Amino acid sequence: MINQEKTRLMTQIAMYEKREGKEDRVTMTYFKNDFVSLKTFSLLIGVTVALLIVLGGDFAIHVLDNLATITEYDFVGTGIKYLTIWVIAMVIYTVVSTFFNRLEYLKSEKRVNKYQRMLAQLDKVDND
Amino acid sequence: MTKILEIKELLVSYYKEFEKYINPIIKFVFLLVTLIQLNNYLTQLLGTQDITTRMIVMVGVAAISTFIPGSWYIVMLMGVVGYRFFASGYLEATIVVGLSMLVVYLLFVRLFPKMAYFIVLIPLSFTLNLGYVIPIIAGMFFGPSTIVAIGTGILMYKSTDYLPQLLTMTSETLYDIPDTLVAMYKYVMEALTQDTDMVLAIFVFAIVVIVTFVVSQLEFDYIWYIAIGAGGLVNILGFIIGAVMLEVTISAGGVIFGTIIAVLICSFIQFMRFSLDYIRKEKVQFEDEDYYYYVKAIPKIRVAKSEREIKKIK
Repeated sequence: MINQEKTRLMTQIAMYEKREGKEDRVTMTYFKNDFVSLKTFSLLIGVTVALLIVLGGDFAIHVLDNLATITEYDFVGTGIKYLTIWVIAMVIYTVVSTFFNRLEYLKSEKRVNKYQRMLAQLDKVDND
Repeated sequence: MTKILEIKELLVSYYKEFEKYINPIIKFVFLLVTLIQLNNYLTQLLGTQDITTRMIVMVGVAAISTFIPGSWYIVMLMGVVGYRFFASGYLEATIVVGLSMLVVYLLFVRLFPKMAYFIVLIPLSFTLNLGYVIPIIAGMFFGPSTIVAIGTGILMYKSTDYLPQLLTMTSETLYDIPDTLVAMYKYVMEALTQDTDMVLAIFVFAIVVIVTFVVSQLEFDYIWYIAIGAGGLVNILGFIIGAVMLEVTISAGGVIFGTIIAVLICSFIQFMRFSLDYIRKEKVQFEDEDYYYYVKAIPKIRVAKSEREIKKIK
């Protein structure tokens, strides 16, 4: 005799495992701060590379335009300007990435908690 | 009205029945159309054709892309663009365009990889004169996280205006390549920073997404349609006021007409949306001590409830 409640629960559990379950399982292997930090760090590396390309091009233009007076060129000032741009970009991307990755982690956590409640419910039905 | 509802329920029931096949086919068609449009544009620009312009290759690429994430598809399109430039003999343009695309990918695509398809949707919708549909849909169904992808899409679309000039910059000898690259970089940076048209479009679309999203979260009757209308109104006012302030030439009639069409299309999508729901037909299998289970879960088709009803009890 098939237990309908048990079948309903097992079906919902199986559907979750098939859909978001795989992604959530990976997410939940990290603590929240570790997950957010890892994602943000990976993004910041990419942003730094991108800025190196953009600012490198800008530097190349300034050097070639001032080749005749290169010894008088304000390298320190230019360096401070680039560093400021880099810091501002790092701050913006850190804030945005932290916010959205934290949100993603919380959504995963909510789904996993619901999944575990269903498992507990299934266990209870099984034992009844 | 009853007839419209009947037609709607019929369409929804067919969609639910064949959803498993319809969704991949729609995605495949969208990806193929994007690839064809891109290749047509590049053929016109570069004046050459190669293996990537063959229909069978494009069909194969689109078919493979149906199963990969959106951000990978963007990388693939960037690869096609880079290859076309290189194969046409424009080495300097390949380097500059390649590096520009790498910068765009690192700065914008990786920030919200799940919204990557909007980067492709924007240029595609503009070529079909339906550009104003995207920010309203993005605000309604996806939220403010689409702003970066939409802005990137506008950047990619507008930057196609600079490519013809870029291609005229070539080096006579190998030693001239660094100077040519610097000249190209200078041209691109000046063009981008002085393109008020692009800045206006990005700014207005961002506001439209935010306004549509915020209004759609309120608890009023018919709020979805109000949100669409608000998005459309902000779009019209944004472009007209922005054009005056930034001294950009726009066709006010075109903006108004395009926005009206966008509002009608979005309203139709909203009308169909609630019946499509978010639950899909699923086939799962599992076992316990006594049985093997092969389960087909079919979602209930709800009668369309396109507006929220608020009952005030005094």
